Amino acid sequence: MAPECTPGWVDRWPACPNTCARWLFYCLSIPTPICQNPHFGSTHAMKRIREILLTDYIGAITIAFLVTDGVFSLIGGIARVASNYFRYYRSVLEEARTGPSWEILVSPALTLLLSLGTAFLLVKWLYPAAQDVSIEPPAAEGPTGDQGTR
Amino acid sequence: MKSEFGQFARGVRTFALPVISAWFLQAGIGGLIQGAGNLLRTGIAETINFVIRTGFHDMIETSVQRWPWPYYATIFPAGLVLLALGLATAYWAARRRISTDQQQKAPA
Repeated sequence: MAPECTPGWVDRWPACPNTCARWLFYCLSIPTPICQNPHFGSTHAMKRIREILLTDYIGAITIAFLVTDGVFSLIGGIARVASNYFRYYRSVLEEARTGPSWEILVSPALTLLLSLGTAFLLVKWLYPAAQDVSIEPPAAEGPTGDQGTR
Repeated sequence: MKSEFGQFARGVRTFALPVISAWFLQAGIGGLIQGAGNLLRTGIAETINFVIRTGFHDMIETSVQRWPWPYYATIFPAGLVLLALGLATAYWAARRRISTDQQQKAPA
């Protein structure tokens, strides 16, 4: 079943974005005329998954776990580099003095980057309205307040 | 005794189930991330190796040894299975929460 699209979008998009692209646009909150069809299967499924993840803060806990996992992997990598560094200076054997290898940090840094990226996408998907909340200044007092002071 | 156990079970259902489901989801996403990270790292290393040091023939020979395909063939399906397990547990937790709320809202 072909997804129905809002009128006018054809002028800007050569083809209707597929499910993956639509999900990405939705996550990144790109204001593009994306196909709107409530009966389209994958959209409904994603909406349902979002509702489930919002119940009992499951999504929020997952995001916290992801960030923690990324940070822990980086700490582990730094600890391994530090361990190699101390071993390098304290070893009495000549052949054991290989020096600290910074290549160990590449994998934890990539894990941190991907974890933070996934957490960011999850936050954008689950809590899109959180960014729209703006702090408005309190309303100015009426003329009755000024009269009371005099 | 029975009511105490019931309270304990209710507490587990209320607090532990969401955390367990979130942990499964994180483990699944973490597995996929780990696989993707290793794939990216090996890809970058192989590309640098190909561009700077070796020729095409060498790249084929070394890539056969360096790309751990059995590892990727394990880590990605395992991540997907954990992700599905997490979603199933989350669905279970959400359904339990909805049914509990409906029971509390129903008139006595």
